[in-house]
Amino acid sequence: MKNSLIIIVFFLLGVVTGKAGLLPDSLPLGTSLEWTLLLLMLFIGLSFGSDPKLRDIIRSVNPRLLIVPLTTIAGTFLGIAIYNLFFSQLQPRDAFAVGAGFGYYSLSGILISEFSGEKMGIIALLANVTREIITLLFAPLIVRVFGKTAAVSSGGATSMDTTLPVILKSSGKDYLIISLFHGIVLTILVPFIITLLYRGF
Amino acid sequence: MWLIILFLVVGTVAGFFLRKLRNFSKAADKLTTYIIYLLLFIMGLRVGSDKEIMDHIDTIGFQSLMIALFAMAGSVVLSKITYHYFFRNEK
Repeated sequence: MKNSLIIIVFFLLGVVTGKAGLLPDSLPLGTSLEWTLLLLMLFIGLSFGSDPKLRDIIRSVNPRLLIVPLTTIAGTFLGIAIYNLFFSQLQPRDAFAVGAGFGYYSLSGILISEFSGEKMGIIALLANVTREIITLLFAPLIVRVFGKTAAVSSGGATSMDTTLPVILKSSGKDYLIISLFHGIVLTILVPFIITLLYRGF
Repeated sequence: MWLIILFLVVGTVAGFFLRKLRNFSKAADKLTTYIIYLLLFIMGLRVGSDKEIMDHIDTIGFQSLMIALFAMAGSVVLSKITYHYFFRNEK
């Protein structure tokens, strides 16, 4: 749905075209990105608000269900804080924003490149693609070592669609609601947390 | 740039009221996907024509991998703790 390999193909097509210098320098890429981004946010909202499945899930909310997304958020930021403290010189807000993609690589890549430039944008894209791929490959192992909710957490925002099948296979079908709810909450939070990190209240 | 959030909220509210229209949800989903294709293509263009980035793509890739690994490690380790306290005794 929101993440698919075709997205990566379009990105790579852009890289090849850009690297080959096939486009005239006068192309107003900056401004075109800005209004298309607003259009994107409008449409993400439209598909979200009109999706009957999502509303059913949100209606089934109970406090205990929130434990899993909260764990994912805290764990992600904890891991990134440790990484940034000892191994990297990234601006803390850049590092946290990349983590706040929670695997939703298309949107986090686009947003962060808008807020912080191409370099952080591509890091967000790659880091969040990696999160999805590792979850797809290692969900069974993650569940065995860290418990049944760990695969959900590891998948981040993708636990509602792309990584859902592998999560259900590893954790069991009982985790359907938990996994869907977790993915929905994180998906909603991605643009909020990233904007908050760069623009404050 | 809070305009971004405003558009998201307006879209969600509008989507909710328009949800009864036939195929609305599907059409909105499809258009979203096309816009994402376009934006990722444009992002690719800017990355591809940025010599600084292309010259350091190996360091950038490594850094991305490390961020992903640490983010996931934090998530699964905390999961083990919350699973132990809140979910283990279920069913």
